[in-house]
Amino acid sequence: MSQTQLISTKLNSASRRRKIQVGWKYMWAGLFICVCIWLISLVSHKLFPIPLVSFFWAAIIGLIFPLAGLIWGFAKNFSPLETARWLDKEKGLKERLSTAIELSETNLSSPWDELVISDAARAVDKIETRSLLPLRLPGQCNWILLVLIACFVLGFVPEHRSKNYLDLQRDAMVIKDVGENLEILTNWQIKESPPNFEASTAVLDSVEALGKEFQNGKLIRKDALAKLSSISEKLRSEINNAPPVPSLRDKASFPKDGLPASSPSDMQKRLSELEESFGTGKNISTEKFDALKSTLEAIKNAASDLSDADTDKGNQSRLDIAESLSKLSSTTKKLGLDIPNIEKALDALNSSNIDQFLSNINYSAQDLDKLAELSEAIENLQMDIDSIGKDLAEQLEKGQIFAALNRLEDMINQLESSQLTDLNLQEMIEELQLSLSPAENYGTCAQSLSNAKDSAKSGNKSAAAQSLADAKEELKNMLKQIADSQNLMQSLQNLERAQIAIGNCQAFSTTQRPGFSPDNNNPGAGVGTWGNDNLQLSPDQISDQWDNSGIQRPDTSPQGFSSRKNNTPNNLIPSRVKGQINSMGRMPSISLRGVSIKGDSKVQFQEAVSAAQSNARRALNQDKVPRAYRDSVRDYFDDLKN
Amino acid sequence: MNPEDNISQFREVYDSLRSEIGKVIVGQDAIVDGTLNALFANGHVLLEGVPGLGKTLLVRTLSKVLDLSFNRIQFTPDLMPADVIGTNMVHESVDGKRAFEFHHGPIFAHLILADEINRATPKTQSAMLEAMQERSVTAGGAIRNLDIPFFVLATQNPIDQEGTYPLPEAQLDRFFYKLIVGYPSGEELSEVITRTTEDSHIEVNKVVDASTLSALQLLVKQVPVASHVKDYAVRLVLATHPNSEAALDVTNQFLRFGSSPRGAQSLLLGAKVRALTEGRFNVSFDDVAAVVFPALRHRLIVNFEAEAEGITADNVLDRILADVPRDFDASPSA
Repeated sequence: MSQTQLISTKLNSASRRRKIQVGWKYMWAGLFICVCIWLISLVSHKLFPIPLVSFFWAAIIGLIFPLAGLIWGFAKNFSPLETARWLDKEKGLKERLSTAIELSETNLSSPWDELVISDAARAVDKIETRSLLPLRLPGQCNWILLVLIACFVLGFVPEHRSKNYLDLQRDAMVIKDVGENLEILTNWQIKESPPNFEASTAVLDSVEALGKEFQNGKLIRKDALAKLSSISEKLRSEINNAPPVPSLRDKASFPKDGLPASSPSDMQKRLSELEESFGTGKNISTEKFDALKSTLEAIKNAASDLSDADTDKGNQSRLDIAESLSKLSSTTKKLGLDIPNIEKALDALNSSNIDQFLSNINYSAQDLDKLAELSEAIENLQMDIDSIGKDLAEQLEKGQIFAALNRLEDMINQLESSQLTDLNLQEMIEELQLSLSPAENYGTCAQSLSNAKDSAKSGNKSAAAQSLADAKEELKNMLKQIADSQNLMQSLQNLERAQIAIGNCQAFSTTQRPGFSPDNNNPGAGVGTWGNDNLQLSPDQISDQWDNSGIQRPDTSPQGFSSRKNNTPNNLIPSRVKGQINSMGRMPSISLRGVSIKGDSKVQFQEAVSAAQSNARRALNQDKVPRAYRDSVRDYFDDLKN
Repeated sequence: MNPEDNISQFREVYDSLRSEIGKVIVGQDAIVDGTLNALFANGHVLLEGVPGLGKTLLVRTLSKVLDLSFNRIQFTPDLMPADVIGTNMVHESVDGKRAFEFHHGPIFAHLILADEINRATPKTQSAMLEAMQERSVTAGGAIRNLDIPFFVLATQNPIDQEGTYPLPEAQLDRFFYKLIVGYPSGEELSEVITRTTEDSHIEVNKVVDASTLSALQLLVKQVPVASHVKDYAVRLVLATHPNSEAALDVTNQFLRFGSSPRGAQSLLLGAKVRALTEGRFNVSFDDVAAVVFPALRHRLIVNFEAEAEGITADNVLDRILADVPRDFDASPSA
């Protein structure tokens, strides 16, 4: 290899390594710019309310720099002369190499040129090109580390925000939250109870649109309140224009589609079906069922410890169980309960088929549970049927429109029937006469009933039936209007909650009063009212049973933390029994959440008791009370009677 | 003889000169090197320093080690140009004829010591101009060539300026180097007093004759210079030009005039000599940087502001050396 070739080879190798070195260097420079951008964006965020998305962009833009530096370094091309000059500088060759390259490029070969090239070749031969690439960390690393530490420390520094900005942010958050809730609630309303009239639809749509507008986050608190106020006024106006008087709306109970779901006759039919399923038993109290369950449980426990039949002890146990089972069987038969599995269990015990016996005992327990539930359902249904008015007048007076509709339907059928006697007609006329006064609250219903009465008096049965049909249609129409009106009232309540939330700058969910229920319009506050079940853990949600009786809680001791001996007086020792919670057991005590109201009550005690019992019954019927609490709830409200 | 042999000879001569001078001159390495550098570059040297630092001794020693003719001219205010150059005098021949005959002045020698040159009048100083630049003198209408090699070593005293005539810029520019002779160190001073206060006689040997010196001066000119090194020298000189494109801030602030092209020539020639003395066959950035001060300091004219603030040409050159990048093209990416 000639000296020129040697120099050229070394230069090519050095050129490649220089590319790597330049790329490495620019990558670190880019990284330094990157962390500087991060620091600037962080400082900006701490000082000014820039959006969080700017961090993302700062990170992306920042990472571009080291990458671009690396690529740019690798892509850079160096001429041999440039590389020679760089090598001269890096290796202290005193410009030997660059001078030799220049001389070689002139193509003039003088003795002196050869001397210079030879000198350069000797110098370059000693160079180890690998040593040209010391990939050590540059000095910028210290600065990068410093900036990163600054970023880390800045992370703990709280943002500087003006009070005005924080207020605006909080307002925007609340408005957005309110908007989301308004939209969800209105959608749910429309889905669950579709409006019957265009005006109601338009109003609900406007509430939904308002919810969406709130979610845009462009409204300030003042504008949001103004818009809420405007729509609330519109809703109030719509509600006030509705024909039913408020008292009627409060009394009436409506199904979701505004039409009767079940008539008294249906309820009676359902009651008959339930009684037929139940058997011959009547008026069996819950206590009796509980006693039967306890007995069955005791038998079951005794059976689980059953010893060998050949021993005396085993025989005695079998006899005891058989006797208990016989007594239980006779008791159930006396009560009119049909539980054939008890008999089968007795037979299995007598035939020493223990497995079958245990199986039958379990089936008996399940049958007993079913019968208990059936009895409870019959009792509740009977209470509902009892509460229905006995004639049209009473039904209208009580606002039982569904019952009234059914009664009108019966009357129409009777009038159209050829079997209507004069006595029946006379009784119908009297019933219509009595119902005229309470029907005045139902629009043109009173007039239609009056017409029917007059037609019936004059013997024109078809005209009377037509008038009753008119009255029925009027009632149906009113039902729809009332349903819409209730919908609007619900929306109005939502809007009021929205106003409270935005006005007080609090979350929408916190505006729900304890015990408030849109279904019964209870005030929500006060002792004995119901909290939101969703906010407490029900036994159904408890997956595992646990026993906390063995847990020591010295912090709850009356004595407190003390090294002294426990010489607490007897009257200070807590007598409360620590409870056990399991999914099927009874609760020893329950805590009801509510807010106490100070001041004198203006409601009569009997009325308050009656209202509370009615609400409790409704809650029990509608499965709003967790199963494990039902007995306790029923006991509590039953005790109020006494 | 091939270049390698010439270079070897150059090194031998240089080392011998350095060694012989070192027998007499204690320390002052930079001054000795600068003087020899100028000698091989065929340039004149202006030595400036307070009295007693060995300027004259250096020149006298140099005259002894060089196998060259030597004359000393002590410049005084009443020294006339003819006293330097020579004059036509009436000469009567044996046969009684009278004719003008040129009587050679002390300038007609290879090596001239112009001692305390600033004490002569400008008129007399100007008599040196043609000799230094053209290596010839004009007297009585005739141009007379001086002996080659011709080498002027002038000294001047920076203090005791009363009755002196500062050298004009044109004449200063003729000097290849201006060397500032500083005080010796403690050890050097101790050695000086030992040598001069004891009964010792130091003999120096002659090292090089005129022809060899001329050949070596030609060799110096053959040393190649890379374009970027040459460019560095050019940029250094351009940086001394106030209010020019390449001027630095310090130049504009403190300089009235910058270096002439002779400055650039001095830089490169001096750098070439230095490269050879360092054993290299090419000129490096370091060579150029090393001769910046002696080659340019007497070519820069500082302005009033610099004088008022005590800024010298050396201060300005110091800043220029620091601010002008060496490898202008390679530095941005390397």
